[in-house]
Amino acid sequence: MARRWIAPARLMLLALGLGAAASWAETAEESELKAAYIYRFAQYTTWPDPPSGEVKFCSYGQPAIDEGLRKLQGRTVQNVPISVSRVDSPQAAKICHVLFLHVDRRGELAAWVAALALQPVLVVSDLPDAFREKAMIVFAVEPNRVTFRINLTQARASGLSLSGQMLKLAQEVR
Amino acid sequence: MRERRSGRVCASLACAAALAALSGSPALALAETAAVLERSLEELTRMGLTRPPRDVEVSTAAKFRQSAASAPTPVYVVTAEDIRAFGYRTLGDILHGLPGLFVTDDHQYRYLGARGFGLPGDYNTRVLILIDGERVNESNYDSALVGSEFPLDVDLIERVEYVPGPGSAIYGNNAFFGVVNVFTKGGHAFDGGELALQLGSFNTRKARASYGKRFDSGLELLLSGTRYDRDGPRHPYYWDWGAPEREGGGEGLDYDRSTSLFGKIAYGPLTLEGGRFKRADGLALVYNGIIYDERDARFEDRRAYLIARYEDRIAPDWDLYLRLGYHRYDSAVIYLIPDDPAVSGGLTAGAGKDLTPARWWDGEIRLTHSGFDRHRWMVGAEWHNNHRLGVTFYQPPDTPYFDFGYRFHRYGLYLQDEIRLNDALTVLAGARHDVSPFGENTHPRLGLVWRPSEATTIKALYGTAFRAPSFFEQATTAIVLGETNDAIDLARTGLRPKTIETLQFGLEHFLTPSSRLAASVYRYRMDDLLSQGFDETSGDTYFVNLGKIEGRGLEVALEQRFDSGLRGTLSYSLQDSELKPGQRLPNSPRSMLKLHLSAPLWNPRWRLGAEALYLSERGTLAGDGVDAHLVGNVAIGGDLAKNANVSVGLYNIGDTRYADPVNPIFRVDAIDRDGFNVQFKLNLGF
Repeated sequence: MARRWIAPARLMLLALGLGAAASWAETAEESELKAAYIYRFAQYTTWPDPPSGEVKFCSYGQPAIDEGLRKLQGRTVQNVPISVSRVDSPQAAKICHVLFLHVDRRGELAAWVAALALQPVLVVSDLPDAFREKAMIVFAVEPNRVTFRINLTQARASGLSLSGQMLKLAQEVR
Repeated sequence: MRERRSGRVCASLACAAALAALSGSPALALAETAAVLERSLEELTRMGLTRPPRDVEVSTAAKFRQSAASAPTPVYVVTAEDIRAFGYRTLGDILHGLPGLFVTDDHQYRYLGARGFGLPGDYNTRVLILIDGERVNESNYDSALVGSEFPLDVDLIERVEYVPGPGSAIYGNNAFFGVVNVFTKGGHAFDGGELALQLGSFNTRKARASYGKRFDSGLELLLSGTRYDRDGPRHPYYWDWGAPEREGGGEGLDYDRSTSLFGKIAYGPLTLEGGRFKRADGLALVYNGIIYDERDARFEDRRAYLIARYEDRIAPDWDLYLRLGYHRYDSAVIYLIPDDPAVSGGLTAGAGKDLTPARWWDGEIRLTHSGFDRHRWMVGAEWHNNHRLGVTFYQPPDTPYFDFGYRFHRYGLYLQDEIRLNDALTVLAGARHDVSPFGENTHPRLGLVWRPSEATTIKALYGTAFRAPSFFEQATTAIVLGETNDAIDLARTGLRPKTIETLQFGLEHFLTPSSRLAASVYRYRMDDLLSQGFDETSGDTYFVNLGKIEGRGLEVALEQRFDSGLRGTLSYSLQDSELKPGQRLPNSPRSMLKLHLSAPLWNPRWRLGAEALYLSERGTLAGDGVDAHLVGNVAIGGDLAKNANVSVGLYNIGDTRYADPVNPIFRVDAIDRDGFNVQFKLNLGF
């Protein structure tokens, strides 16, 4: 009875060896990946008043992504250098071009999105509730991927224009 | 003599040698890892995650999108990437890889077993299967089968969520052991045309043409058609026990042919989705004691559905979900009674058929209110109008000897509240009341999720769930009880809805940032088991309430990711379900061990997926058993060019000989599964 398991077991071991031998992988840390996405989103966005001097990337909430965002400092979007900062109120966020929002409490989240609703701020979040609350771009985490959804109506209402490439790659466009 | 069971292409050792040659290939060169920030948006969407994420998004556990960690039960997610990596060919392959689930095959259909429960002959009425939230379990048998008879091509699946545990508190009937939700891809996933060709053992051919696109206006469209043909083994090896050796007999009798069409249009909050499916499966088994060796003897399934969905925020804090669907389902068994009194048992020779049509409308409305920080309220109603259900048996020459039609409505009303007691503690409470002509019942569910730290989540869930006797079960039981055709009273069958009471605890814990442990224990009690019986003299099946069942089990899964890109999941399920103390149910493996590995090969565009699936011994209906078995599958796939993708799947690589316990109708206890077999696949994009 045990004998019939030998062949499959041998092949499984071989498969394991094969996998372990390969060391090229296209993987990234989740927060690193989200920061890279935000960087690309900014490149595919047109603001009603194109940023001059600096493109302001702001964040509120989750510290994990801040580290990733800080790495954007010194890079440029449409030839304008990026500045990265944390904000602590929707009022302060109105001067941002891009805002990453991670607020766990729905009431607070709704207040932030409402306060920025008609401002030309690209609001990005990673909470499922944020899509219902009409944040413009919301990440969806899959077991081995990060994808995103776009509230296009909301972005348009704020005067932002998002490129076709972004719309094509989104998981969902509303 | 037994025919070789394998569609043998190469001996497993030769295959192993080929694999070994691949692993030693100098092409295993290291390419330079570009920084994530240099990647294009398109590349980012294909990038894997170095560590298992903590907040995978799911939406089946509570009918709203949430992080899997905040759902009251473990949620298992399988994505299109996994389907490709492991070379899964059916929904059954996908589900068989998950903890606690196992799939049984009798070469006609594939049946899903869960939590140690997979009675032979049961048409899977204890797990609710959905496609994009719409019930697949049809209205005649309340069944949803998972093999090639599943109406959707696996290539169109974006992800599958499995939520183990009682789900009747929001889903009603059949959400007994769990709910499986199959999400279809959107048009953007294709972004143009795609052709897929598959060739495999047992002379299997599959061709699919798809077109999908998201237009600048936001309109998204997907159209897809699949043709599948499997001739089957030249001499079905599972014939040994029943059929005498015959001249050239059995060739291609166990064929499986299907055509499926699927379409989806989405614009903003509105989605229109529909499908058509037709399958004919050769009846190469001894059925009802008669050997059918004609190519015209077959099972036929036809299905068509059209669903409209609307989902949007209609006012601040209020979300509305509306769904309306129309379904047709026709199932037929067509058999030929031979002109040989020794075989026919005195019946007139010719073609007989059993038809079981179903037509129904269904709809759902759901309102969610999230205006309070601590509460998310949901109220919903679901309705089914089964406006035509039938059971018709024809005997040659074309005389209906039983013909019964029926119609009924059923409704369900549910309420749910997700209460956040504080940042670490969430309660999910809900209940649903269901009404049908066969009774009313209410099923509650109470879940608790505690996240004491970022790395740990503890879950508890108590709930009851039910499965009502299906129309088919009631009608056929009425026949056996001797009710006459024109005066059937289904209430007299004495079949009652079955209830299950479950208590389960779950733990998710990150041992290290790259290793995730998920464990759950459960205990359930079924008030009364409804099962199939078989009348030896008449050859009819009927359904009886068998008695109480108690079950308990444990599921543990460990997922580990390595920097090299190697991902592995090892899961172990221990399950005991007993009719009486010490009396295990048939087809109930006590333990299951499943290993999944996937790794990039010589470059990241080529991947290898391997699975090893062990099931312990299982009992059969007659009290014998089938041996424990270990089956290994390996798939290798990659991109030849930007729009050309190839893969090879090697199934049952060790050519393990194993069998599944089957339906009593076959007059045999167990039927062998396929031996070693292969599949080649080519995908071309335009």
